[in-house]
Amino acid sequence: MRNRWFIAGLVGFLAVTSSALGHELECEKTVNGETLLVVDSFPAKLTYELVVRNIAPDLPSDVLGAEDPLLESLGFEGFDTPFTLPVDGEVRKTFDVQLRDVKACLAMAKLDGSDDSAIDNSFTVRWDSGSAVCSARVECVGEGGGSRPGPRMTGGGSVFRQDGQRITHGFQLRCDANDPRQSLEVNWNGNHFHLLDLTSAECKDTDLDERPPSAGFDTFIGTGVGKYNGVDGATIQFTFTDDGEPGINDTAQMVIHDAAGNVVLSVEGKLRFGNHQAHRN
Amino acid sequence: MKTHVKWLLAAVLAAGCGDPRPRNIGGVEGGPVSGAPEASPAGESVGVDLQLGAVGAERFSSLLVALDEVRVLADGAPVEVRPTRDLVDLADTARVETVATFALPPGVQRVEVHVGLGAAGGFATGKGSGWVDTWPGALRFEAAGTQLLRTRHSVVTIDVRRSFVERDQALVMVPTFRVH
Repeated sequence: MRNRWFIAGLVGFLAVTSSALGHELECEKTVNGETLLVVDSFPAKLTYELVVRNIAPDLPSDVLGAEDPLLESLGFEGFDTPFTLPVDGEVRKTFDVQLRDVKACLAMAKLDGSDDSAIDNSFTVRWDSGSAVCSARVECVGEGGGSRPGPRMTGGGSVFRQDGQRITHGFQLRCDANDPRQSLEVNWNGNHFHLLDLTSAECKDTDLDERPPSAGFDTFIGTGVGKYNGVDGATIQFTFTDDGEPGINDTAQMVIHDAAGNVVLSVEGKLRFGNHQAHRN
Repeated sequence: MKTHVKWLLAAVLAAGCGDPRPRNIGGVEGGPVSGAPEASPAGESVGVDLQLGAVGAERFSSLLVALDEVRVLADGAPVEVRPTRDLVDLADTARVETVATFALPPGVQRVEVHVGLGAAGGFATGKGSGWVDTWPGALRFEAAGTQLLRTRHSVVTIDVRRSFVERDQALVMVPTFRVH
């Protein structure tokens, strides 16, 4: 009889343990109802909304943590954890931020730890066996903002060599080579090139037609230095074209040398799974 | 009876400590964790797989995201990381890819993971294709060291519906994900 009670106790313990493992949460974070917001007129009001939701079927879930450090540094009261959400339960909070001008927007953008013109901050919810992270981004646009005028090309995708090898690339490049906001990445066959410095840039208007939108140029010719598989001293020469939408006639030509001067990649072709987009500003 | 009790205790502990989620690693249901070192004797570091998967990508036939770098801090100290993939197709939601492995020292409490995303990515749907703008993006999260030491893996599941916003013929990534 004593053993039966012991077994019953063990079964009860198992049920409780299984219940604890059922915790599962999700979060949502928006700013003015969006996850990506461009702010180009000031003063501006940002209304952040943060939601924690129990998605464990048929079980309550314990919320052990719910933090948004950036908003909390601005005065957001946060969530009083730990607390328990019932089945299908959720809790949501809002927090308003007033931005007087683009300088205030840029100052807030610096609080996220990255030196750019976007306010990227995350809301993290924790439970016993996991966590959920939700992000919202605000891009500050205006004088001194990330989208200050100037022609640029963005895009990426894949080109294939004749042997079938896939090369993917992605970039945001300004026609002014002195602009520090340049990025270019190339991946192929386990290899990786990362642009560190754009050393020359030429944006040309050729017979191609980049529209829509009309940008005044359709071809970006550039050179740069960077890292090849993490090693400094690599160089790249490239030409990217934008021949309208949907991008199937856009082309990429790239030659990459390693630090010793060896050609480690040479490829030219039309894009597949991608698009190049020329922008007037 | 004592033997039965021992078996019951073992079953209870196994149920209580095991990972309740089904795993599909490298396309093999319930298969071994690829890349993680075997069980280590007490006092030695433990290999952990960092895995990446996705949900909500039904409309994509391809959704490539490039991984630029993976950094891991164990109680504030960097640990050795071995990347295993630099491109992941999030459209294949049935698959969870191991993107890096790292070694955790015993007794670690707090683990910080930073997965930097590169600019090279692209997508394709039935309606067309384009560029995935992940710049400047990263997946950052903290995990409990005790849990990672026990499960030997950390699975990041990206919510595709919420993480990608259409703009200028491209998809901008604003990450929303869960970690187990």
